[in-house]
Amino acid sequence: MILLTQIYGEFVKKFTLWRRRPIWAIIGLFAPLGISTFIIASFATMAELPVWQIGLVDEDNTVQSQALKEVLLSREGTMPYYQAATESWEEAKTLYDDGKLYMVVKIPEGFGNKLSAGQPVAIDALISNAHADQTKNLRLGLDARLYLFYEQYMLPSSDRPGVIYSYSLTYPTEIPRAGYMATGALVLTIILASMMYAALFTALEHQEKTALEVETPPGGSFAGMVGTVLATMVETFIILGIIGIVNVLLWHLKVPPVSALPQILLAVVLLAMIFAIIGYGLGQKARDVRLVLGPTMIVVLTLWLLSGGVNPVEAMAGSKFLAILPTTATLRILAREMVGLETISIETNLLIIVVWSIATVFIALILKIGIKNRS
Amino acid sequence: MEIFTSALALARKDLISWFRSPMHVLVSFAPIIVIMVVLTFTMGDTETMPVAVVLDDPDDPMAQQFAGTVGGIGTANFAWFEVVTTDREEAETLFQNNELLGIIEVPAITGQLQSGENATVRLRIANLNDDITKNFRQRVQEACLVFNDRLQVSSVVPASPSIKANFDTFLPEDLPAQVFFGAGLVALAIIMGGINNACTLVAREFEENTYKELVLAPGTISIIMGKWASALVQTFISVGIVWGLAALVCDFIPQGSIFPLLLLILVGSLAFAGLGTLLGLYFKQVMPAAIAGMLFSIVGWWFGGVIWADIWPQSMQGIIAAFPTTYLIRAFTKAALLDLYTTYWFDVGILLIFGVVTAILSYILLRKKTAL
Repeated sequence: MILLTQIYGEFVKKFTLWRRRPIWAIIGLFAPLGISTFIIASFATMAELPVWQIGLVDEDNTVQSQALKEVLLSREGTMPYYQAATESWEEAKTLYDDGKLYMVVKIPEGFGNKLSAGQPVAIDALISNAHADQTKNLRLGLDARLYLFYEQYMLPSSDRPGVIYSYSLTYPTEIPRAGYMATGALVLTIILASMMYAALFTALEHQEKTALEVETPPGGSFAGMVGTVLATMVETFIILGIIGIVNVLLWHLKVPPVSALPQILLAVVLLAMIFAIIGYGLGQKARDVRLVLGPTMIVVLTLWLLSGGVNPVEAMAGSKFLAILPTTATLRILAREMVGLETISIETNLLIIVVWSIATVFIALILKIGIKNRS
Repeated sequence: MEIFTSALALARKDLISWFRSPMHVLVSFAPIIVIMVVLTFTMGDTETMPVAVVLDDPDDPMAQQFAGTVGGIGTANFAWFEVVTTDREEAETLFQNNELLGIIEVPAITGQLQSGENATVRLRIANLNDDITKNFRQRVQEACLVFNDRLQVSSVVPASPSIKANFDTFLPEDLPAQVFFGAGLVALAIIMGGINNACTLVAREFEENTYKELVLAPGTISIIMGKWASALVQTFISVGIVWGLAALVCDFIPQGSIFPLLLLILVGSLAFAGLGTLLGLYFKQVMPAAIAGMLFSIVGWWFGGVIWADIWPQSMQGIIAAFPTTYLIRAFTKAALLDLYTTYWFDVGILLIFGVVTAILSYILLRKKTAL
């Protein structure tokens, strides 16, 4: 009973401290919101307007080359789309050499005649390969346009066959990348707020020389840790609630059905607890609020990216290892309910989080008992 | 002369204090190292998509050839696809477990092509997001083009019409993304170092109540000069460390002369130290000033350090142009990676103007704060 009273006392103290330090509440709110919104918005903007300026030079000037030009500049099919900044070879080449154009496409003379005669045709492309990812997008983008031309123009006008493709999708609707990333933003919020607040308040106790008062009574050390973790979890839920509403409105996340709330809440509570305990450990070690933020940011941002906050882990190297992180498991549960990734297993991911929670609590208790015995 | 002496003394005091606290030295570049490792780890190898290629008839020669085409296409640096399995059952299991991004099902196409019919390859895509779907489709489209082009020399089936692009590249070899990140991160080290070192130096004086002693210095200019000189040395050290790591982790080795890059470090460090001074004076606390500086640095770096800045949509170019970071990153990456100086002096000029403006504002703000 005394222990419960101590825990409650610590909880109230830490929660009051949080309310009285609006700058910390603001950092907890705006750091994850700012970082995630900025990155999601950047990707969303790229997705909605992925138009590249290119040089497009037609040296053939036939019906066939005109048809190809139309396809190259059309907005059909997959991104990126192209816009002709110039049709003059000299100008295009100069801009390309100055690093101001990333691709120049030239339809050579004789293109139309070869096409009519049923011969293989080729176009020439100058392409900037000064960034592998951009090179990939430019090259695949151009090939995608050529494929469209092949499928829409060349095959129907030829009496010879070729290979084409059809496709089906696992999920009934296309999931915008921004929506997927918004669930990652919620995970970022949970781990950042819980780790940062726990670390800040624990370090503050040392900095203001009140840690000894907390730890002196019997069970005080344990009550101090539990009270800090509980207060941090409540603070995290408040921040998460605000950011959740913002993300639902901004990125059209689905509000999860009532039937899914128990598993979502369990996952979120356990994840917040894990990172609050880690934050508590950091605060004990740092003993100075100025030294808390750097390590917190490093751990949190790294885990956020490695857990699929920007790219799904399925598309990343080491996905088998990354899939067993508690952050990945929580992200997957949230993504299942909030963006519709229905094939994700709730049971497996909950199990991962539970195992991590037990391991974290166990290690925290071992360390706590060990430190107490030493002191 | 007195101004220089006191500025030098101030810089010396700050540097001694900086070297005595290794945590502060580490904090000045630690976030960049994390970004470097994470970017290299997550984006360096994300281009190869794990898939299964399943043949309806494993003995069909054209289907085999198509499967070979799928496994063989890509760039010099990485393959488009990693064919994890060709076994149908295993493919289904892996696909259900979210361990594959798709299954490419190839029917017995030889017979279809011989009889003059088009053959359709079926894709099943794990559309976790629309970017994956796009990438998957485009790569298979390229596989179709390459395969159809190879049919020209096939004696098994009639030649298909074919079209392809002959690519001629700007550099002799593709520049890997991590090398670009490496250059961008060195530029970030200049920006972040300049801002954070200066803001920490200034804010700490207020936090530790030592600014009263500081204002006894013979002039506001000497305080600014001392702080900037100290921040400059700190930034050179942190940039050196980040540069070394970028060479090791990202294979970043500059292509051209080192002198234009050194000039950029000098100008950039001083220009961003001005912004750091302003932040330190405004917040008077290390933590919020450092967070604001870090956010500004990372946002600025994001626009030009992840991809070339002018590739962002036109609607964003105005915002990007308003960030002084854009000019430092552009000048640095162009000079270091392409040995290209078409915008170099313009970029240096913008940074100098930015530095002068922040220096004037710092002077005004410092006068105001210390007069209180």
